[in-house]
Amino acid sequence: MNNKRDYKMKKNNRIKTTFESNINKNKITNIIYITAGFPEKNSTEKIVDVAIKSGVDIIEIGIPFSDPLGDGPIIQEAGQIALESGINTSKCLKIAKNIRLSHSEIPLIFMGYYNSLLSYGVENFCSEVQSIGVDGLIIADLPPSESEEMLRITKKYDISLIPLLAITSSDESIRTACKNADGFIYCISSLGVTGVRNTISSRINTLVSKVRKYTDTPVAVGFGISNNEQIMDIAEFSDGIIIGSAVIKSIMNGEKQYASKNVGKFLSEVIK
Amino acid sequence: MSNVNSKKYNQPDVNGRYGQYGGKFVPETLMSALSELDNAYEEASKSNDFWMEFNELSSNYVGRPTPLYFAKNLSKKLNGPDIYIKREDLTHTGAHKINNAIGQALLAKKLGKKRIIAETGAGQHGVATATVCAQMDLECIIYMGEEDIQRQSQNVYRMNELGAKIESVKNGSRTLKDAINEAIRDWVSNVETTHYIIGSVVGPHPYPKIVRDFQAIIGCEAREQFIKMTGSLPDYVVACVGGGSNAMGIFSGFIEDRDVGLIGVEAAGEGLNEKHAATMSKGRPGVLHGSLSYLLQDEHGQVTEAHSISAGLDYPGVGPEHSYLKDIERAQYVSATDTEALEGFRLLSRTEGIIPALEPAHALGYMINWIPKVSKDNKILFLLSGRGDKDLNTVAEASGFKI
Repeated sequence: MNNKRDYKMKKNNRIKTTFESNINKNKITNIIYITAGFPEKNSTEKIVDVAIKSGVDIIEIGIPFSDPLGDGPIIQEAGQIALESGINTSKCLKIAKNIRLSHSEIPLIFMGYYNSLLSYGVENFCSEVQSIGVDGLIIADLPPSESEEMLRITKKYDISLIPLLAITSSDESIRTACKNADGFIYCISSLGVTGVRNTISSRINTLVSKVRKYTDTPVAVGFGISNNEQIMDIAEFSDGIIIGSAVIKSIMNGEKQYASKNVGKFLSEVIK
Repeated sequence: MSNVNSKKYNQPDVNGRYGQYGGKFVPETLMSALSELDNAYEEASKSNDFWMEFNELSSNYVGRPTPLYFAKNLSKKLNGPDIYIKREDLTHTGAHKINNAIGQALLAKKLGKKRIIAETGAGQHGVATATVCAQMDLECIIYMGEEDIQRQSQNVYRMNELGAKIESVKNGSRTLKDAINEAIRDWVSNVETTHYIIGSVVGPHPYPKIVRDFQAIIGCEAREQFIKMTGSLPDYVVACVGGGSNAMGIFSGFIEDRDVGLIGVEAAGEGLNEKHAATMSKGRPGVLHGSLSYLLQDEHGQVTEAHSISAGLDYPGVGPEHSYLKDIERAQYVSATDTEALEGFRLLSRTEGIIPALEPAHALGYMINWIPKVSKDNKILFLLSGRGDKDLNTVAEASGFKI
């Protein structure tokens, strides 16, 4: 086998291996979202170090966008602060590269909005994502029915395009998403934008069961998750959970220079 | 390009694409609501009962057909071809926005949704939506940027009196773009009980099509009236473009008449190299609010703030069908500055005794410079999309008066 092939295989396995190993140990896969360059330009690498030590299995790095219509006030504000400090798509790639250099095994995923990729050039972006060793992409405003062109490119560069499904998704959307699924399937816990919620809709259970009918790809549930009790409930039927706004909030509640420390403290209470 | 050569114009395709533009770039949570809306509209648009109800309200509640007026004094003053004005300023609530608000509120009733949300820039779409919600007994929430609330305080008060709840939007540029973001976020959270009446030919499919079709009544009437009054078609149709619903409404009546020039006038703000809202002159294709279209954005794909003296044109995007018409060269897009718009505002007021809204005043501002270059035997159809009462404070302030 030549090196390139070897490398690709390795990449492709990071998300899969992580889920498989946790499923075998009967453990839930913990995924966190952090906005790149928040609260300061150089914070992300340090936050990731702490998160990995705290038991986080997969990192989603948010690419800030001026008009994040799928996000609630917390992630909107984090993105705004990052943009004001000069973060852009190239710098997000740089941050991911730094993280990959110090953590060769942790699965990394970019989460963002379609226009950031369009503007950078989708093909260019994916090619760089592959060479850095980022494993997947989540695009908040690219639903499965609009993903055909994107899938062609992510397949070419061997990147997982992780579909989002909602409790309102039609059976047809669910089928399309499952047919093309790679990495995991992101199930949105409730109606609405990202943000901390006290209760998670019981309908998420129904969505996950529907998804299971069509695919063996692991399922992770996100939006609104902020405490261990919710995670325990979701672990009953899901392979993974995603915490976003609550992580950002733990940073916002403290001083900038203690961002990674505060994330560590928060995660130690949530991930048990 | 085949659409230009064949007589029949039939856009968008089944996926909501106008060439490469349009589409449905929204969070997955909204996708089922968009299909539901698409199906409801397909069914309604084939139903005689639906159009009978729409037409009945259009005649007896809105006051349609709106007149076509030969602007003899304006034509004489500009010393060019004859200018005819389609008077959408004479509709109930004072702008073309009511056409779409009525159509969509009827659709919401068909969908069984009793809670209505809408965004507004100048306040005209907000007033129109609040009006039909009062008439049809629907709950109404209007998202409006904080800056627009200040410059359009009269319309805010009108919406209040009509029983609507105004949500002030404090993020971003605090104008129309941010009001749409917030309305979409509300819709994602309440999608099963709520219908979002988007006010322009923007947003994810099927909105650009639905809004165009409800506004098409303008073009349909104007074409018939123009032929009846002058015996021929106009040589040019001129309308202002923010999101572009009034322009799409009148253009759609003439799109298959290949000899009729279609001109859309965008807001050049303080100038095309300064702060402006001239999306098609200065933007490049991108995705905002659910569709791919020309967009004002920086080199990194961040949407940049638009600027215009007119709140209704202060938008960094544009409807996807306009982007398509520009690319296939069926329509031409030009711009007028704040100053030119103010000149247009005064010119129509003084020559014809008609005070225009600042949005169509941009088209007038453009015509002041353009008309002298047009052959006198041409005929121009200008769409006056709304009346200017709402803009008196802004115009007074720009002229150094306090009222």
